[in-house]
Amino acid sequence: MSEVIRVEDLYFEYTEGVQVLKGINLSIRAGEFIAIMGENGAGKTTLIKHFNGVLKPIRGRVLLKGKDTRHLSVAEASKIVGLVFQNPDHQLFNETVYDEVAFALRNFGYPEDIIERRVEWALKLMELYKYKDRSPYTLSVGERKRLAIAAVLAYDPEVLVLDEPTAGQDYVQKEKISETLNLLRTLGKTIVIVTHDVEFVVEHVNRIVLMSSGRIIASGPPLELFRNPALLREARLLPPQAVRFSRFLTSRGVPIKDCFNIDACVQELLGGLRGGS
Amino acid sequence: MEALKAFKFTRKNSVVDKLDPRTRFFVTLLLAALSLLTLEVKRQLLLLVLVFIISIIAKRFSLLIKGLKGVVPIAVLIFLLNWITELSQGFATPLAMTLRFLVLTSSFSLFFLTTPPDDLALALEQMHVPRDYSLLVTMSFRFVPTLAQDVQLVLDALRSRGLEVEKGKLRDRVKNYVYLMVPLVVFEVRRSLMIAEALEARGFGARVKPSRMVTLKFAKRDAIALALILGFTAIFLSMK
Repeated sequence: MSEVIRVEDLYFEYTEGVQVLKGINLSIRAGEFIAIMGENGAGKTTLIKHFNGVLKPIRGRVLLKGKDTRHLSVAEASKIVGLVFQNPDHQLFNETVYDEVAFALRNFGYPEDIIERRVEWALKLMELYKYKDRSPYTLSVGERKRLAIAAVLAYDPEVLVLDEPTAGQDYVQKEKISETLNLLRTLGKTIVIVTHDVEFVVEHVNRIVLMSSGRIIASGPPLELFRNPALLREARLLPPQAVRFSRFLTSRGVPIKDCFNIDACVQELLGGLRGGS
Repeated sequence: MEALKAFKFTRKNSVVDKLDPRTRFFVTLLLAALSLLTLEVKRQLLLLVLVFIISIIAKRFSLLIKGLKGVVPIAVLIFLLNWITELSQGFATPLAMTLRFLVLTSSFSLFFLTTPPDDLALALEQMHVPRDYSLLVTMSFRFVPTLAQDVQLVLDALRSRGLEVEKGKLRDRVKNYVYLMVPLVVFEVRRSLMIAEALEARGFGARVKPSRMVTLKFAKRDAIALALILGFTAIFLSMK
C-alpha cells in the first residue's frame, strides 16, 4: 500500500515556548482506517490540522503523497486531505444545502455541470438530497454533521479526516455515521478519525494511534492496545465494556479470553460452559 | 487581531497597578477630554508623551507600542482623509487629528492593559452603575479571546474547503469576509443565549443585591496620583 501521509519529527506550538506537539512521527497508508485517541489536550486536533496544511510545523515536516505541506496552499493540500471539523456550525454559511456542498467545488474551479453531479452524489450518499433547497441552519444537529461531511466528500479527497464524528450523536445517528464511514472505505478512501469512543473504534478501525501530552505513545491494532492497561491509563482511556467484563470474570475465577464485543463474550462463555460440562 | 491585544489585561507589578481602578479611569477620561479640548499639534504631542511616561511607569511601554502598531493603518487613513478634504489647511490639522486619535487609543489602551475585567466590574458597581451593565462590560471583555478563537476556527474551516481568504480582488476578499461573518454571527448569538440561560440558572437577577468580598478603597497614593494629574491639567490649560 502506498503512503499518503507521512509526518516526520513534527513540533508545533501556538504560543512561544509551549509545545503542543513534540516530535510526532506517523505514517498513514492508502486505504487505512485510523483512530487517533488520547486525553483532552493531548494534541489530537492540532495534529490533524497539520494534515491539510491549516497549521504548518515549526519543526519537522508533513508530507502528502511526497509533497511537503509547507510548499502547498491549504486549498491544494485539501484536495488530497479533506478535513471535517468537530462543530458543523463553524463550517456552514451558505443559503442552501446545495450551495454549501457546491462551495468547495466552486473554489476548486470545477465546471457547473460536474459540480451539479458531484453535489447530487454527495447529498444522496448522506441522505440529504431532499433538503437541497433548505437553509443548513434548519437541519437537525445530526443532519448538519452529515452535511459537513458531504461538503468535504463532494470534492472527492483521497483521505478524509474527521474530528470527533460521533460526539454528541444519538445511537441512530452514530450508526448512520459508521455506515457512511464503512461505505467510504469500500470506495477505497483512507479515513482518519479523532475520537474518544472506544466501542466505536473497536468495531471499525484497523489501527489506533494513542497520544498523550503532545506525543504518540503507541500505535497498533485496537485489540492489541486494549490489552495493555498501563498504556490505556497513560492515555486516560477505559477499555471497551466487553474487555472489562471479560477481565472481571477472569478475576472472579471464570477464566475467559479477552473479548471485544458482547457477541464474542457470549461465544467465549458458551464455549467455556460447553467445554466444562 | 494585533490591535485587540492592546486592550487585553496583562498582570504586572507597578505603582500604576496598585492604584484604585477608579483613579486610573479618571486619569484616562481626563486625558481623553484634554485631547478633545484642543487641536494643536504641540498639545496633542504633550498628551501622547504623558501617556507614554505613564506606560513606562506601568512597565507596559512595549505592550502599548505593539498595540499602537495595530492601529497605524487607521491613523494613516485619518491623516489622509483630513488632509485631502482640507488641502488648503496644510498639514497641521490632519496631523493634530491623527495625534488626537493616537492619544485617545493609547490612553484607553493603557487603562485596559492595567485593569483586570474583575476590577473594572467592581469599579463600575461602586460607581453605582447597575449590575446588568457592569456585567455586560466584563462579559464583553471576557469573550474577546473566545471570539478570536472562533474566528480562527471558522477561517480554518473555510480554508480547508479551498477558499483562499487573502487572495483575489478587493471585491472577492470582502465577499470572503461575508462567508466568515455568517457562521460567526449565528454561533455567537447562540452562545450569548446559552450564556444568558446559564446566568439565570445560577441565580443572576435575583432580587437581593449580592455583597462583595473585595471592596475598592481610595488610598494615599490615589490622592497623590489625582493631585499630579490635576496639576498637569492646570498647567496644560494655562499653557499658551
